[in-house]
Amino acid sequence: MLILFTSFLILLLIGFPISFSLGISSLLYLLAYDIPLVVFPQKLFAGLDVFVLLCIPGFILAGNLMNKSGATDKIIDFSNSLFGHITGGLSLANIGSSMVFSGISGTAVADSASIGGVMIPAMKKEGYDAAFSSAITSISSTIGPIIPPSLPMIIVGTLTGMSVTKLFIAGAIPGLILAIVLMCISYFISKKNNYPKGNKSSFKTIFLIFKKSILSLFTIPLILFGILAGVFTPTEASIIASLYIFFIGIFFLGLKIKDLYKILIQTMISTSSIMILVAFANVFGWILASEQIPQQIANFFLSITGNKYIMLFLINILLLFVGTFMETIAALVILFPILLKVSVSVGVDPIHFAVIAVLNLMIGLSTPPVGICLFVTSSIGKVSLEQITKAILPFLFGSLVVLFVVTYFPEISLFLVNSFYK
Amino acid sequence: MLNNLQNYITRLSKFLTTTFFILLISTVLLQVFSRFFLVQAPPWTEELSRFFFIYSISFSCGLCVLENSYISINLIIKKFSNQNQFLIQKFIQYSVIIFMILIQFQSIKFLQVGSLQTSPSLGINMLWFYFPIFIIPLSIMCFYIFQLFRKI
Repeated sequence: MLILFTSFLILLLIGFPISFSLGISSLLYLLAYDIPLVVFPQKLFAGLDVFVLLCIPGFILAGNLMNKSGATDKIIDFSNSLFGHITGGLSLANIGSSMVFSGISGTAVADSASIGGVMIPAMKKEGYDAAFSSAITSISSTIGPIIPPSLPMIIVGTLTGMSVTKLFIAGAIPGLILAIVLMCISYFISKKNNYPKGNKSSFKTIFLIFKKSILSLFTIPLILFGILAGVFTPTEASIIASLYIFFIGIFFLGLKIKDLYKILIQTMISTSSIMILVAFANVFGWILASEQIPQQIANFFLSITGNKYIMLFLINILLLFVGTFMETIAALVILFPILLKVSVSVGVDPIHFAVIAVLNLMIGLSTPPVGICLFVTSSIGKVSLEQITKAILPFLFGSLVVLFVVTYFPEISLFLVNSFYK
Repeated sequence: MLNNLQNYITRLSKFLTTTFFILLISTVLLQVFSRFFLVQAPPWTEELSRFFFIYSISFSCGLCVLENSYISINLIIKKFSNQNQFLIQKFIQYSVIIFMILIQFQSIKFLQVGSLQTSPSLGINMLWFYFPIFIIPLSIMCFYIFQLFRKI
């Protein structure tokens, strides 16, 4: 087992892509223990051949079509008309836009790149500090995968057989709370730094902007109610939403047919990089399972404590630590089944635990040294990792408070699920 | 010569990726349409959409190398001198190529197993389902080889 973990960490640290670090270390393990190598392609295929994962390209396509057609800009305009007049209004609009965009795309990196591409330059132009602008974009994009639809929740559903729809519903309230907390922190920082506020939009202006963006905004109820009402599966909802954005893009927003080829390729490249990671992580996870590592870790945790609250605290610490250096999907594939077993054995609801785990790993996306969203937004804002790290600290603190509340008040995650599935 | 080959393979990969992706979208739409407007949705749509999905991934995974889409941690490597960074980069490229060759060989055995099975809904030979597992390492390896020679 030592060979698996040591080689994985060494390969990761010297700069191998995470997918291949997982794959090569798994292969070395199979070679070292003389296990038939044909297991490798078998498990690789098993990792790819999962129906629920088909919604990943659909949601990414919806996000890409939103960006290319200008629908994202409309959402930002609308968000700005609502929050722009408050001190630090653009930062609040940034969070608001992320919330809306997240209801379509489901991935934090796509969110930080698309919202950041528009909002960070606009905020800098208005006199906001570049590090603050980049930090708020990074942290607000992590709301995305908690509010449905959510790529990490899809992965969790795939790994455990839990209902993806229930997981989606469970993330809604925690996502909203996180957004509100981030907005409050952003407001106080803006007040302290005397960041500008825009002119207050009249009701008529807000209504006019709303009218212009209503077609784009309609995508969210289309996806959410489609899934929650049981009209569509998540995969079908993602494709129907993409088709809808494509048509409004073509007829109302100036999207060109010739752009479609590039959008489709870009979508599949993003999907493929995720799926290859999932496939190699599946081989790695299979080795862990066959070595009964989950059982050993579960026993280790249970030997420390049988108390539900202390256990959740320990798991949170572990996930936060892992989230700082490991990619979300790889961490979920490898760790989630293990930790789910531990938490369920001390009486934690599996759906509640899924929300806790995803929230932990999302915070990791904005935590140095390997916060991917931090990298994306710091490069858009042209600030160093040190600068953005300093600027993001208050937001990370706020996120940790939300994590604490979500962990110890399961009703926050389970209230909607229980209401829908009485 | 190598540039021409790379351009050709890139264009082919893009074309096949898009074709299978469109087929996937069409199958999902057919599934929705038939559920709403026909008496019963065809039982094979789920299997067919998984089939197109895996093929689309297999043709686009090489393009990920071209677009630098595989996430890696470069914090430590960036602290090295330029020459050492270059050497580590070469080491990574050669290692991934060797890794892909090994998977390629194993995938052939996997395909042989698949040739004895039939898919449950579509009734086609599972060899065609498993074939992307042969294409994936081939595609990634090709683009790493292009990268290796391009940078020299």
